[in-house]
Amino acid sequence: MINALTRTVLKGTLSKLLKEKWQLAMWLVIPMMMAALFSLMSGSDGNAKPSGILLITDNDDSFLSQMFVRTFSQGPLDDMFTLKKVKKDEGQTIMSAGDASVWLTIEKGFTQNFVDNKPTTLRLVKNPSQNILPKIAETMVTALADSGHYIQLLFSKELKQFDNLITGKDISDTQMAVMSVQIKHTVDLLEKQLFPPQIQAKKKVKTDESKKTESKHSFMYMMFPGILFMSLLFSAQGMAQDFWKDKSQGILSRLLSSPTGLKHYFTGKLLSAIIIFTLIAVLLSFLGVWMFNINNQKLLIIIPWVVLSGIAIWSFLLFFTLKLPTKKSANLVTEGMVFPLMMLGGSFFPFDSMPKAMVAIGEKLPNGYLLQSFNSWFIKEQALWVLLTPALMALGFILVFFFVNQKTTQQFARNK
Amino acid sequence: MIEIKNLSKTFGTFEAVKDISFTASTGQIFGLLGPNGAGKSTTINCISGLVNATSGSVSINNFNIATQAVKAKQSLGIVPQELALYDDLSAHENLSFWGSAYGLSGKTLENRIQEVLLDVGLESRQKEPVKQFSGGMKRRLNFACAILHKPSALLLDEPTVGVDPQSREHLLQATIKLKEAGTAVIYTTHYMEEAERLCDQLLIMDKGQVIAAGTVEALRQQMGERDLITLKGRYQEGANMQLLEDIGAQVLELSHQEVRILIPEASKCLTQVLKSVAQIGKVHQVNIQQANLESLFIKLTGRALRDAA
Repeated sequence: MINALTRTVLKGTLSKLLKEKWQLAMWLVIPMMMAALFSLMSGSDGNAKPSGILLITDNDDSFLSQMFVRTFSQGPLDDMFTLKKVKKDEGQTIMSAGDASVWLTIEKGFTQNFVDNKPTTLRLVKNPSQNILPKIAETMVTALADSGHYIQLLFSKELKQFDNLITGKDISDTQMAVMSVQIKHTVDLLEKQLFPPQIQAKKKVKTDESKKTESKHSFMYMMFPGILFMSLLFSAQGMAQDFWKDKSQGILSRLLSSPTGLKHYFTGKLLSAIIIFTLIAVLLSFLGVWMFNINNQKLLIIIPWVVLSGIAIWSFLLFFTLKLPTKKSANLVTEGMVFPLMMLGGSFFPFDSMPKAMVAIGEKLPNGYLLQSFNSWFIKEQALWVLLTPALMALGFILVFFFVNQKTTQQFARNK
Repeated sequence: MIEIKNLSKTFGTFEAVKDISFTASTGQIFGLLGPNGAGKSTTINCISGLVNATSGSVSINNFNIATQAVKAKQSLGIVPQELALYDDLSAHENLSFWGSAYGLSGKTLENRIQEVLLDVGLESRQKEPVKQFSGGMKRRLNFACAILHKPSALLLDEPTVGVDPQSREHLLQATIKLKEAGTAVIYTTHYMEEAERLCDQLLIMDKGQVIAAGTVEALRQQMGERDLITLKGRYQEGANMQLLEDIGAQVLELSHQEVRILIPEASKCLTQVLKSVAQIGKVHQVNIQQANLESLFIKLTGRALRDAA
């Protein structure tokens, strides 16, 4: 049976919170927004992939020039560059507007000069406002030019005979066979220099099964528990501040003069925190189901775990809130605590992408410890019992802080 | 009944309350009178258990506030000097909150809420959020929150500070009603007229000490059948007042701008008084009034209440 005051405090706190819809929304939206931004910044697999437009003006329009251009649409470069063929004037306009990363111009006679072992020009115009993509394009063009130079050195004779092929004319089967044999002879001659005996190194990689499973999840999935905990930290800090609001309105000191008012007030606040954390857990879990197709049965673990963690975090932050001498200092300090707790506790970045020293600290923080334990089950897919010890630890933590904070509230109410 | 014995409270080296003893009986309004900083609020805080007394004891209906806090607080109501209300909740919600803090619930609580709203004249505004209330209405609601559980002992700490005349009247009437119902009330104020109108017993405090105590009548008698003359003007400080004393006046105060004297039948000897005062300065304004508690405070401390505040 819940005491009448506890019930009133519970009702009052929830009703006040529902009136402050923006605050509630922020507790949910900010973590999701931050996760989405991190995800966008890092790419879905956690690695950054810049992309841009590569303008091509191919004045030669030959087999070799086309082959050269196709290099930029192969492999990883394909993700980075969107190729766009342009005339000189159009290219000039686009580059002047800064709408492309690089502009490559292949001069007329490029192939013929290459075959004739004559100098040829590739003109690369880089967008000065960009850094990464123009450098990648420049490196690529330089590498291709070097390769072309070595081909000219080694196969100049054969290239002469390729002339027809390169310039788009038909060549006979006999010509093709002769060229092939000549190239083979040259390669055979250079084989010892080109392909020295290799030392065959056997590389045995010890695979960690738990890490293997991580890779199958998307970055957002791995961030999901962090988002939940980020939301818990924001809401716990906000709810702890409620004590100061009530104190400044004279509620707590007046409750102190009632028979058992402060005790029931504290219980009411605890119950409202449990309800708010449940609400957050349910809303975000269903978002998880929708986004990551999380198994419904997992919700039976996720929701209680989030609530348990929320209460532990609330108790922790409340302790500091009650100990600080003014409303302003309590707000500043606890707000200042929330961001390092998020950062070190794995809410901004998954623990696996954090430096070891940071992980060592983060794991010792209440939110970090509980998040790391949760990840063992949720991401690394370890057996459910891995949560048993952390759950008992969290319960113990909550119990200790319940008595400490209840007692501290008395002193807090007394202080002017 | 509220019984205070040898109560002292020290904050560091500062003695806020020094060895005070008094009893507020059932159906009686006991006034604590004194300027700001006299120790009235500290005394109230010690009685309500907000502050632990350094020495002495406080009992409410024979329950010691320090050792039997829950029982003592059950029959105690307090109207703190500072408002203790949720601004964003309605008057009804606030009353519901405070009623439940004293164990009321359900229909009993609802009935009491309607009764006290009627007592303080807020029944038509009960659904409105408190933030829309005037200062006086908030004070009335603050008062109502303290009497929901029908306390047999009530502490009122300057309940009429900064309120409009209408609200003040509501509060004073409600206090009288409680007294008539048998509540023991301790009423702190620095408004003399309120104290004179309401209180059966008075205790005048200054600098943490009791400087006078008794019924209003007994305290008035300490002044004798004398009038208080206040002469505003420009005077030489420290001037010889022998002339005034020679005509039977008691000089309470002589400052650069004001002379206050007590004298029997002031209207008859006003000419003599003015002649005497003219020797030490120039009179601009004269005010004659019957001696009151303020005169007593001046007599005992040498300062006016407002100056002390």
